[in-house]
Amino acid sequence: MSSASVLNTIFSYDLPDVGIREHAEDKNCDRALGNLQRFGREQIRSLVHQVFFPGGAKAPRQVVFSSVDANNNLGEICLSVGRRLCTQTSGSVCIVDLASRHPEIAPTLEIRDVVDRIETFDCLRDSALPLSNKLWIVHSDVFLGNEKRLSARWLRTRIDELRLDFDYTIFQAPPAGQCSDAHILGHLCDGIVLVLNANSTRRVAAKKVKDCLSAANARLLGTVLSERQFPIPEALYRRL
Amino acid sequence: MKLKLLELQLQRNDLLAKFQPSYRVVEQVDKQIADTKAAIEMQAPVRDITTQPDPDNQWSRAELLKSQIEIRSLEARAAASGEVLAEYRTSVQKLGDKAIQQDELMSTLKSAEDKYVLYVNKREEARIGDALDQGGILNVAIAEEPRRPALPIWSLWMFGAVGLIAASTLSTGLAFTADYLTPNFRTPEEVTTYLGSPVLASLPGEVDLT
Repeated sequence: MSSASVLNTIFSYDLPDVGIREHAEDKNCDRALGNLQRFGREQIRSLVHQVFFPGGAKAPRQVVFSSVDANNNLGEICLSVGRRLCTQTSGSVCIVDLASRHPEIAPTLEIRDVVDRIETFDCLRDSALPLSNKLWIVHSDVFLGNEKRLSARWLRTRIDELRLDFDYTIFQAPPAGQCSDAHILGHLCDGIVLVLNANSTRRVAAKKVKDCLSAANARLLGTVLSERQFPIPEALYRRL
Repeated sequence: MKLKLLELQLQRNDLLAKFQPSYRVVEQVDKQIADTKAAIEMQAPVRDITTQPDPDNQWSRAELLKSQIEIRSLEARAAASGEVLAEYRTSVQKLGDKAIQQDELMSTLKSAEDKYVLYVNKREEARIGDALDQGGILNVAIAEEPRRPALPIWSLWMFGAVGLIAASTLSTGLAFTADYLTPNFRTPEEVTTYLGSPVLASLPGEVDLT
């Protein structure tokens, strides 16, 4: 068995979709040879494909990304997903940074200096910060406006506005294990993706969050395992 | 009478073969037959009486007699055995008492032997001491320096092999135990198994995804 086939066998469970797995075989080889960055981007591409283009009749268009506990990578993951989604669709994509509503428990996207300059308009798209011609970012202050206490009816109206303004919406929600915003958003949106920190997120906490999401009628689309460690050295991978 | 009647009937049959029934001789025979029958009828009926003794009764009487004799003999034997048993019991009690006395005597004998051996040894030691004192000799034992054995009981290779096997087993067991007891997620398989939801992506750490 060649080294490439061995590595493909090792990493095949990361890519459930058969087509993606076949396309990513050479990518896995590259990752094994030291290109973890390319491997991560391939995983993001697979994530976008499975979440937004699952092949069913009704594909999710408004998806919440939330972690179980504080995750420094959640903003980066949302931004990567948004950018990758822009390359795979012709529609507009919006990232709503709701994690900044709780800065003590959730790090936000580093766009606060830009957000401070944004004025509030009637249309959310006008208030959003454009990162490219198809990607916008909406800060929590813009999204929430003067509303400090979220109600389900108001949130539904706001989400419907987002649905009119943008084709795809990615919500960066506060940690679901520490705040109930993710549960409400997961119920009102098309689904929620739970981000777990490898070697950090406890199994019991993740199970509890999943039960809470199920109790809130939130559709759990799947999980993302971030900060994953590969303990076998790359030099050893080269020799496999 | 019956025999005579039978003879007359035979005679009549012979005569009838030669003469007519009205013949005079035949009539005489008929008359004699009639007389004989009348005489037979006049006689009393014959009764057969057996005068021989009953064998079963005689056998039972003999057996009864034998049993009575045997009972008397057994009773006599029981009386004799009782006397013998009483003598045996008396002798057993005497033997038990003597056994106790024998044990006491044996223990006394053993203690006396021990004391005797002890006194003999002490006397021998005292005699040797007196002899050494008289000769001016001091009993001194030279202590020998301990020496390292030329060959160890366990060879170095054996120690190494046992240590290697023990270390491998222990470290492997500890690794599996630590892996089993870790409360955090590490691989996508663990997430799928524990949460039952699919893992859409597994992102490596310390990598710029954007």
